[in-house]
Amino acid sequence: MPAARSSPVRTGVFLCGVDEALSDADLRLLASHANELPGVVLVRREGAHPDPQALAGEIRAQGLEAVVLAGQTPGYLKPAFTRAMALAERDPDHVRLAPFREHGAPHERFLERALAEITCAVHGVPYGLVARRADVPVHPTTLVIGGGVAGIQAALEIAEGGQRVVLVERSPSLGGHMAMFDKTFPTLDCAACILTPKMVAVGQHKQIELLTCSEVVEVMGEPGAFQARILKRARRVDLQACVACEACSDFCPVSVPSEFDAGITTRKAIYRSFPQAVPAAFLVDAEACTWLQSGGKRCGACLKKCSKNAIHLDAVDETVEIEVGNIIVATGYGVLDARRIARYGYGRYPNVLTALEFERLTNASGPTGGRIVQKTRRTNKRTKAEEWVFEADGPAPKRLAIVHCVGSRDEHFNRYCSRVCCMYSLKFAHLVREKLPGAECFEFYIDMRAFGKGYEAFFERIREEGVHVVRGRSAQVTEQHGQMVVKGEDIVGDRLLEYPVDMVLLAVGLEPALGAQPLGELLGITRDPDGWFHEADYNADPTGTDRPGIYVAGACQGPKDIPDTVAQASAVAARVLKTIASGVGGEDRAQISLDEVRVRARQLASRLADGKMAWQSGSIPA
Amino acid sequence: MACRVGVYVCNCGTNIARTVSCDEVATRLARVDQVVVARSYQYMCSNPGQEMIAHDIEELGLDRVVVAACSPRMHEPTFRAALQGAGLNPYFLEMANLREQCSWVHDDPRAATEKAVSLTTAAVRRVAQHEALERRFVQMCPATLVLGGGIAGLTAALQLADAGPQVYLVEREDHLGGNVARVDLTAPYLDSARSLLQERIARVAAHPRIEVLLRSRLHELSGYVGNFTARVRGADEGLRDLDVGSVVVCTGYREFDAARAAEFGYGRLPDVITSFELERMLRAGRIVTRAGVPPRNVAVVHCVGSRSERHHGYCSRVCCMTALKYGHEVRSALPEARVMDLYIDMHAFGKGCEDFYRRSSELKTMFLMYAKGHPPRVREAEPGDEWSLVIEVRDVLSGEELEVPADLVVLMVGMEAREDSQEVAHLVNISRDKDGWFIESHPKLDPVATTTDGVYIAGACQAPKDIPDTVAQARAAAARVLARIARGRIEVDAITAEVDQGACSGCRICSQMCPYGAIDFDTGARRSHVIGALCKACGTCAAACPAGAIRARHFTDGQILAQLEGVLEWPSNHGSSASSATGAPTREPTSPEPAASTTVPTCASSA
Amino acid sequence: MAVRVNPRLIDDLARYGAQDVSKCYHCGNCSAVCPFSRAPHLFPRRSMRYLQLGLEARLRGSLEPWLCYYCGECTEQCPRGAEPGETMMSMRRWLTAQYDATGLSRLFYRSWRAELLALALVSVLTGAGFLAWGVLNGSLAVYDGPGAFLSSAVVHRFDWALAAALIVLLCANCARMWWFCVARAPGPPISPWSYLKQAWRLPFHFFTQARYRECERKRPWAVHLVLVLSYVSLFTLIVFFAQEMQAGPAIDWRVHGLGYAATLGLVGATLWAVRARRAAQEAQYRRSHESDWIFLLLLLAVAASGVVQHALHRAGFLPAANLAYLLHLMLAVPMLLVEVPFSKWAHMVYRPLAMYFEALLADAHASAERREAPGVARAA
Repeated sequence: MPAARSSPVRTGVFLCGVDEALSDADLRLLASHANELPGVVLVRREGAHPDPQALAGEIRAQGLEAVVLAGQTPGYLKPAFTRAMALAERDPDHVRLAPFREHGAPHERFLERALAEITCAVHGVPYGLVARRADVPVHPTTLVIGGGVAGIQAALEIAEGGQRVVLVERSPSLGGHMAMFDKTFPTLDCAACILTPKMVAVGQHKQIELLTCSEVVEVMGEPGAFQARILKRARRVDLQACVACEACSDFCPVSVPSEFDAGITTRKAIYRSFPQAVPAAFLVDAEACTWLQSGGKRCGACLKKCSKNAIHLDAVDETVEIEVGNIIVATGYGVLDARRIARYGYGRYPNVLTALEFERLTNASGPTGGRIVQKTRRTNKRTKAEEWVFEADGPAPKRLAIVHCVGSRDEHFNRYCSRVCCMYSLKFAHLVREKLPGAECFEFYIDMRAFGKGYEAFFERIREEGVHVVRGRSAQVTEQHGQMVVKGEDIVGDRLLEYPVDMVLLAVGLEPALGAQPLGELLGITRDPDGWFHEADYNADPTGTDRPGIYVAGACQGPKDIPDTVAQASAVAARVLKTIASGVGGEDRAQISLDEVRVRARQLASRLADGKMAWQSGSIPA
Repeated sequence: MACRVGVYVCNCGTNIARTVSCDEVATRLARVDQVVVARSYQYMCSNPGQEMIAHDIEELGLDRVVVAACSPRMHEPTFRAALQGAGLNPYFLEMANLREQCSWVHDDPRAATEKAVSLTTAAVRRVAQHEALERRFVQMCPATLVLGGGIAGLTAALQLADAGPQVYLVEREDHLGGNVARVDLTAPYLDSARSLLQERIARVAAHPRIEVLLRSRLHELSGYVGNFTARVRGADEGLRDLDVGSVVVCTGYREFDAARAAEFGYGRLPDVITSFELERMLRAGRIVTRAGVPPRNVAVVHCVGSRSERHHGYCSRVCCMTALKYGHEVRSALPEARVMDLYIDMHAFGKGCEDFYRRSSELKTMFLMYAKGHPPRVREAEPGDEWSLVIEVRDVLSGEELEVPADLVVLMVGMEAREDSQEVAHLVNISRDKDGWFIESHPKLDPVATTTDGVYIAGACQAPKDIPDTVAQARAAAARVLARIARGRIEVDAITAEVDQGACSGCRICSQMCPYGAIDFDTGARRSHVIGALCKACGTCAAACPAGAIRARHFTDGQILAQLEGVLEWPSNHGSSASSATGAPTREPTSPEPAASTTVPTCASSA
Repeated sequence: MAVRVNPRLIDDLARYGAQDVSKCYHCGNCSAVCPFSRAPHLFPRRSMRYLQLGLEARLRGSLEPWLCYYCGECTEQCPRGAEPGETMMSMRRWLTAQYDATGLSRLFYRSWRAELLALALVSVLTGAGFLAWGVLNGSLAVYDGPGAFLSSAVVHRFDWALAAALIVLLCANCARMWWFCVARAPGPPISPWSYLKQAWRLPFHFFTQARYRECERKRPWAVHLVLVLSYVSLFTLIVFFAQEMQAGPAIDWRVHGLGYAATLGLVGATLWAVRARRAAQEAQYRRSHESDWIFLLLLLAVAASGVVQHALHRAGFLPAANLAYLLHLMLAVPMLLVEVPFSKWAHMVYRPLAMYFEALLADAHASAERREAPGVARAA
């Protein structure tokens, strides 16, 4: 806390860990700027591993009373400086941070923000307190991009608050990944039971305009008053007229892999992603439809069959423009393509499945009605080709292996932890043991990350159910005379395993959704090196972005399980409702000019100093 | 009176259909008198399911609906809304719980199906007795009470106050900030926790619509959603009543008392300290042993009090990253020192955390993995050793019994429910789980609401949480309150007790019995009457009333007796059912959408 | 009996090249993909663990590093870039230093300057010695036979002395290795009979490099084998047939035929290795310790000088041939004296020895298990 004093504090500014982020010219600019600030007597760069003793000497020599560490993540050096201050018999509390990264990613105004943060740190006032303004008028309508559980939750919260929401979903139905799941950990209640009512609610809510098969293609305007252009892909089936009687799809001759079933079943060219889809109406897959591909020359069977004349194959895409005040990005995630990791044999061995495929297989509404079976070989009648398919009466696997961290925590693929795999793998093990009590199930893991409420208990329960957990991520899946074999080291058991299995489940990691990059570009929000959207401030503002009025919720900001996603979505809703209720919003950081920051920082510092705005109510115990 | 009842049997995927033959239940219910239509469908709660009901109400002129599905707790509102949408009084619905009460608790498909039929028939009998009830509304007071001035409380308060309403922030201590105020830097980016707090606290202190009550505690909470009266005992021991519409509980956590885990020698050995004690050292810039010299070897022990049979079974979620943070901080302050990190599983799940873990290993931190249930033991070193402590641990990754020399041992004490959590839970009438954490109304869909309407929970009082997740949850709670305030009024359930003024003798037994103080006595007329908004329809008064003047709406004797008779009907009245048994229950129709099986030729499947 | 960890051993090993071992988080990939790893000798993961924990005694007594041929599989697949292969390589360097009682090896590995200096010193002494001898007892114009500048008879005697010295040093190191890995190994005692019974493994592994062949890719094995055989043949020729080699100018094909072939093999294999290390494509050649370069270049230089000397002699430029011979000796002697007992070349002895010891321990346990109840676990 800066104490009341007339003469400015003798301050030293140390630039650390800036090399990768800033050019030498930028650094010179930072330095010269820092030099002009009141009380600054020393500005220099500091290496990665400073020696506290030496620093203490320097602090004494320069007579420094306060130290400012500026850089990407200067916190790494703070303990050294704190100790140095103590060694130099200065107040160790007077080591302040000006972290550039924590308050948003590098972007076009990065340098300006860096200067602002140094200014605040030198004055000893929190940057977040100085650099905020809330005088931007806000349009009451909100745009939600993405109709997964995050988008649904955010939209409902806002609509319940009486405000208008436009929800844009790229796919034909609400639901996202969660709709594909069978059960959800750790409570094991079925995903459909908890999600479908919300989907219904969104579909019926007067305040929510639902645009499926749609994508945001352009966003213009200013925070508080964005103009968004939205491309509405032709559904080619009348939403109102269609009663989903299925007559059309029964007669459609074209079969293509079903996206919703993760490709383990087929759907028709005129279809509905899944029975509980919202909206319930069917739609036409233009790429697959014979009529459209042949320019209306061939097929058209569905047209004849639809008793309500709801099918308009000649319908065309259209774009609409809407005015919105806030934008919520809830685009979720994609999953790693298991083919990229050759040694697990995905695509080579038929019974190596990805997590999503297994979710569909074990799901009551899946191809086998929830029976866990191995694929069976059969010849396709039309193509005469050999193919492996799931059949309800297929043979049940006797031995399964579940491999954790597939593509996660791995320099060659994704460095980060995907956060949900450990738990859903345990859930898989449970489902297997429940549905096939005779089956043996092995979990190959590195660290069992059961961190959430009730997760650890769930882990214990799975163990007691007789699932074998093996510490050691298995290395490869091979085939030895027709028998799949999982090879790995059982570290605790101190042996090499060559474990024959009928089925292998790959806990594939989460990845940024395909559209994330273009969307980020057109919204002007940055992404971190792993491709997830960058939050404005890791601790203080995990759902904000560099651009005011644009928020992120759920897995598009980083892998997340359902409870955390829902919490984030609601949190964003709160931000939005707040701006609408107060009529103004956009606690915009980037837009504040440096001079303004200087002035405010000085005022604030003095007000703090002479206790006008003291935090007696919050004097933090040393 | 003859009603037209529609019966809808939900397969709930395979949750119900695995043990109960839903098609059979439908087939047999269709034969029950007053039942006009009986269908079975995969997910009744889904859009097609609800539309099916609405469609039948219209086409077949149903005036009563029975949904045989799951526990009414989750979906009764869903189906009531469906009825209302179709122009039927929402209370003409009855649910039979085939999931929790049949499929999940029985193995024998035959018997389970029989029971399902009985329960559903009972529901049919009961619903016939249902009366149309009207819902009422109460005003919503915009002011909000926030309990706890930690990061969660501060965030919630600001979020609310910025949006308009008045906020009272009640904090027991003499300062705001909670446990975060004891932390210097945060993982994984080593950002300053202090400036985070300073920002929030300064804004709270300066906010025109936030009143901070320090050294204060909630003494009593009366009233009901939208209209609570919070009696707060202030620093001066004086009581003060606050009118609030909602309460957000952000009382946070307390750290596990390391002395309770004797094996770590905390309190016995001077150089064994807790994580918070190390924080203090780091903040003071003096990381020294009791002897006053900087340690050469610093050992950090994870899961102290967490993930253990003897103490808390759960994971405290933040300790792993905090421990890694200490690794970095110690190496930064004492470049010569070495850090040894004793863990069970490294929970580096958050954004940027795995990278943080990698960076720690690049610092040559020595990681030792011990098995859950086999905690390391800390003992004094032999005289003559150049270190003061020795940790005995079995490292899982090498299978070796190891001795770890250390000068300073840091215990990562876990989080546990605050000592006053029971008191708070009682005051605001919410429940706690076996570990003492407050229970959310639904772990996934409603992580901030509680079983008591108008009372919300946020932050570590619900379960261990790091700062970003806490901030998100605090805002989520604010969102709920704001939505409520925006709507201005609140619907209260029509299911309450009511006093037959004619029959009431004015004995006032009921008002003494009522646990919610929902019964008021009119001294003039010497008659009792029920305050609808307060009544939770527990039925105590109805049972207690000597004059039988009180009846619980929607739980009348007639309705309950009819239900009982319904249970006893099968098989006596309807004869054997074996004939109508369908195939093995596990062999459900497997097409993505089975046509809803129906026994009424007149109306086609609407699915 | 609990073992004490040593958080600073990892720093020591870093000097031998193990820079990234601390990154390992023990997923177990490496041990599973390693073609050489089999119970009870699971590696590289466990060896890396010992290193992370600083269990010096465990490491010193472990044979695993010698059972690893650095095919690179583990490093290719390591999810954290912990370089298991390179770590095993560094452990071999470290072990070489541990086996050597004089401490010279440790010095050389930790400082390439010291190694170069030692080489230079030996080289200069050799040069000075032979020069003095030549000037005093012969003339630069005479190449071989009586009055020669460097008569083969003399050099031959010197060779024998050198060979003897090397054998003594190597035997001492091998004895220490035996002491660490076998004598002090926990578990049942080893019968003298099994020492005899398993002895065949030493020549077998030395001459065939059989285990290296188990690697996925066969080429590294082939090259390595060529190098070993060529070197051995040249060594034999020089030590046993020095006179025949030196006689001339007529070419005696009985010895020179083999000599040429071996030289070709030696140079070819060495150049291949140099190219691979410069390209730094495959994992096993990505990281080169200074000692690797010194070794390869020295080997090349020796071969080259030998070729030149031979050519000059046959071409009849006798004085030049003599000087080339002197140079050749100034390179060959330090190479043998420094590299064989104290540095990289020692592995040609330690590898076969390790496999011999492995067999001995296995024998002992097999017999122990036969004696006791079946299924007795090996005391780790």
